[in-house]
Amino acid sequence: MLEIEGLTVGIPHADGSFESMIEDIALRVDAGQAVGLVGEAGAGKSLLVHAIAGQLRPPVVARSGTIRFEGQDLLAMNAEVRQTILGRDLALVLPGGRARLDPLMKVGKQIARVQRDHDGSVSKKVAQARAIELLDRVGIPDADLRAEAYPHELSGGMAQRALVAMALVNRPRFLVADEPTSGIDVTIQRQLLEDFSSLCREEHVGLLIVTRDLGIVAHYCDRVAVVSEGRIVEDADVRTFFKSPEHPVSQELMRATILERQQAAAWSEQTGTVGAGRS
Amino acid sequence: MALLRSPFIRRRLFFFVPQLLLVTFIAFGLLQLLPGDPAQARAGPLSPPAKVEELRQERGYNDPFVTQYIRYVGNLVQGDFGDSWFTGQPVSKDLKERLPATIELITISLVVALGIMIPLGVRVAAPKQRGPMAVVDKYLVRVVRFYGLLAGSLADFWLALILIFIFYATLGVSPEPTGAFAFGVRPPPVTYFPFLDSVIDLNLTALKSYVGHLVLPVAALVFVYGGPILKMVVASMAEIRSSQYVENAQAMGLKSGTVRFIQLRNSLPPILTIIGVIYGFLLGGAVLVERIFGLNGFGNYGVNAVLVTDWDAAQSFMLVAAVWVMITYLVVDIAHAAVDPRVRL
Amino acid sequence: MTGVTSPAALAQRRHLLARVGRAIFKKPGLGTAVIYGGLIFFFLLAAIGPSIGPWLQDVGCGCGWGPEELDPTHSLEPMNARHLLGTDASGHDIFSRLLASPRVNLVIAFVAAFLSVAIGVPLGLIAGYSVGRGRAASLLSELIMRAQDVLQSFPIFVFAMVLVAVAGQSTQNVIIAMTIVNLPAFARLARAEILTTREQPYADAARILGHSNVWIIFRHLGPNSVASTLATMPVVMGFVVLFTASLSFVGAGVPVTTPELGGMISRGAGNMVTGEWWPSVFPGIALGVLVLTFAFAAQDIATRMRTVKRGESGAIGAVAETRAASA
Repeated sequence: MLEIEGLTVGIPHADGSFESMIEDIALRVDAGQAVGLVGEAGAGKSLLVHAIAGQLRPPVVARSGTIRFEGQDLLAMNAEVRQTILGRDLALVLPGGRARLDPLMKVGKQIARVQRDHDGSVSKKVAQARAIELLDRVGIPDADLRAEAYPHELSGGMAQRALVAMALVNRPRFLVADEPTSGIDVTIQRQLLEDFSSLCREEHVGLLIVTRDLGIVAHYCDRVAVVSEGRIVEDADVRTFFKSPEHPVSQELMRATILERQQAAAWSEQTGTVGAGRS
Repeated sequence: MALLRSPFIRRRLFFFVPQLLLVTFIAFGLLQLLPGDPAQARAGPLSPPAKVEELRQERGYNDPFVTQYIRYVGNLVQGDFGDSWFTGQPVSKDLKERLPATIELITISLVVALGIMIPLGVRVAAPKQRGPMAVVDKYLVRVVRFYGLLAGSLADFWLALILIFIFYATLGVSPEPTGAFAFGVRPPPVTYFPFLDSVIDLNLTALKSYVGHLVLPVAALVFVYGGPILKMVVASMAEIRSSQYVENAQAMGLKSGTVRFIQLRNSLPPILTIIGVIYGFLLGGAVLVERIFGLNGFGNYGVNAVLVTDWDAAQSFMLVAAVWVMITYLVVDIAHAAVDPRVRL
Repeated sequence: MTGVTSPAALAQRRHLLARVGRAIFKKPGLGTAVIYGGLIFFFLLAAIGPSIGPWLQDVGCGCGWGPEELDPTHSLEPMNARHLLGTDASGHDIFSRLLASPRVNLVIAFVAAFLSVAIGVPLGLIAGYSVGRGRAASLLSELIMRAQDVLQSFPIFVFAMVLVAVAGQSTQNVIIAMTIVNLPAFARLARAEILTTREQPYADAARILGHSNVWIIFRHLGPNSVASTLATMPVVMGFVVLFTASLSFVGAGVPVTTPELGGMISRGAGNMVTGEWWPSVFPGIALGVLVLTFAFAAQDIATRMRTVKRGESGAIGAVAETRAASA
């Protein structure tokens, strides 16, 4: 469904040299499959997401490789065609919460706009109802009231959920989620991920989750790809991976996750509260 | 009106009257410091002392400061701005005759400046990276950057002189810089707005003459004061363009028209602010251009009043200009609140 | 966020300006050389400009004149060997006068900008620091800022004219007027800056250590708040030069006999209409180049400061990331 082959992205310099930021990436996600993309900060995960969204800004360019979605190369197609695919067949949840929402428009309207821009035949009323339905589905209480709120009136977690709702509004066949649950309460986080998971199983949506949290990968993904310094260093079945991570970076990530969970547990024991889940 | 429910707008309106009072106080207080005896100035240098004393009593120049101030504000409320000894008319009449010309000049200049600078700024903020226009855009960016600095470095009055030298003295394509109309074609004043008066009079000759006389002063003002507008449009658009929400809108596959709309609307507030600042400033700040082109406007009136120590006139000039600025800022704030829900708090 | 910042970190922040200075010398480039070379040139003119004319006269090249010397029999002469840039209507030698003029303009610009900073910045710092620190302090802050609001809404040009008219025409009074006109801008900038710096951990640290408010404002927060304020000084100086020229243009600036760029333009204005362009055009170009040099310098400093600052936060960000990764 989504096939990335030999993708190299970086900055070409005037002297003819090329400073690559991700190099020779190959990744394949099939319909109904959930793949976790993990790696440290700065490994190149987000750049890969940008490449999929067609948002490499100069001076950064893709030098070689293809990103095929249902057979069509997203990198090679022109912007107008890509625009009709993004947000409809292939949707992205980008990290950042509130900063990702247009500060001057009510949340419900923004979600409705994503639907109406892709399908002009949908009436405003229908789109608005759909927006409220989705806000409800991502666990926002009083969704009909919240749809009338401006982004600055939402908490960070709520804004992040609104972004998820926005991505789901056109019933995409493929979902790329970059740190989709950052800043969200652990309980809601689980609910969202369960929802993703069921989309994956029941509606055969392809899922690429980009995260630093191996716990999420362990629970919700079928396969895992580890990125380090712009390259995929390990690509394995989840069971195999957690039994015996091969690459040193994978092992380091595993240790870090375990430590973080222990600290969080200790913290909640001391304070009696459930800390907000970190990405 | 939903805006009236906004706490910000309510606060803003609530403080407006006290601010106005403070402005009258400063305008009044400052002019009290002017050297010379107002009664003597009004009576003329050769009047006998008895006459001067009589005038002083009559106008209450000997009263305590507070009494004079209260009387001043009381008169203002009734539309009495005092009398100008220089023009021999009530100041309110002078203002009615002079203010419209200046308002028209700066409004036309602002509209022209916006018409040029906003599209140019939008273009420069997102230069084409590929295609045949990429090279043009590359140089456009440089030219605009230099122009931004140059516009802030030129004296408007000098630029006005250069324009006169080139287009009037050398090329002879511009009319003489001695007013808004050629001699003898001024339409009868109804509104005192030269443009409106020409239209009311259905006088095409006057209208043509007016437009011809306005080209150079407007060009000078647009060149100098369009610079900051252009800079702000470029800076604001560029910042919004690289914002996370515009990125998200693109990633959601929104139509390019929608994305452009999001960008434009979000970059509006700082642009509105700079427009307000410039429009507010120009009423009292286009003085030198007015003088050079012989446009007998409001700024010119104020400068003359100070030069000949015409108290009431100078005071009224300061007052009107300051109130103009405050109203402009108020309008900008309201517009700001209308655009941005975060400001309404 | 850690609660206390090490003295080393404090020192590092405080010397932002010093590092901007170093950055200028480190990567000079041709553009930089031209900009700062231009500034030095104008400072040199301010120092020795008025004596160049008479000196040329002394060495007998036949082209030098005293800046206030009149040659009424040769008024409005175009450029020639005796008067390199011609003469104005009253017979002043434009070349010599042009060399002498920047002194007055630059002295006014420097002193006025310095005074506005010296008065405006402390006011802004106090106003910013007082926000939300008890009712009296908040009221003080409000009063300072609202007074400046009203001050700023007055038409500054006529306002300055009135100030000069009240006090009389002299360089000193123009300086005072320009100081008052520019004060609010600096106060505003300083206030905005301290509103962010006072949230920094070292401000809390200083409070916890029991330093007095005055000490904290002027010893700790002040130096860390003024960098960007000071970076706008060249812009303001350029503005003062323009503004002084405008005042002189209507005859409300420095005394008419003093050589000054605006006054020179004004003297030639009437001749411009009849085609004698040189008395106004040369001082106008000089004025434009002078102010443009300031503008370029200001832009250059601002760019370098952004780079230095970004480098700083980049380093901090990197450290934080490393820590998060190794945690």
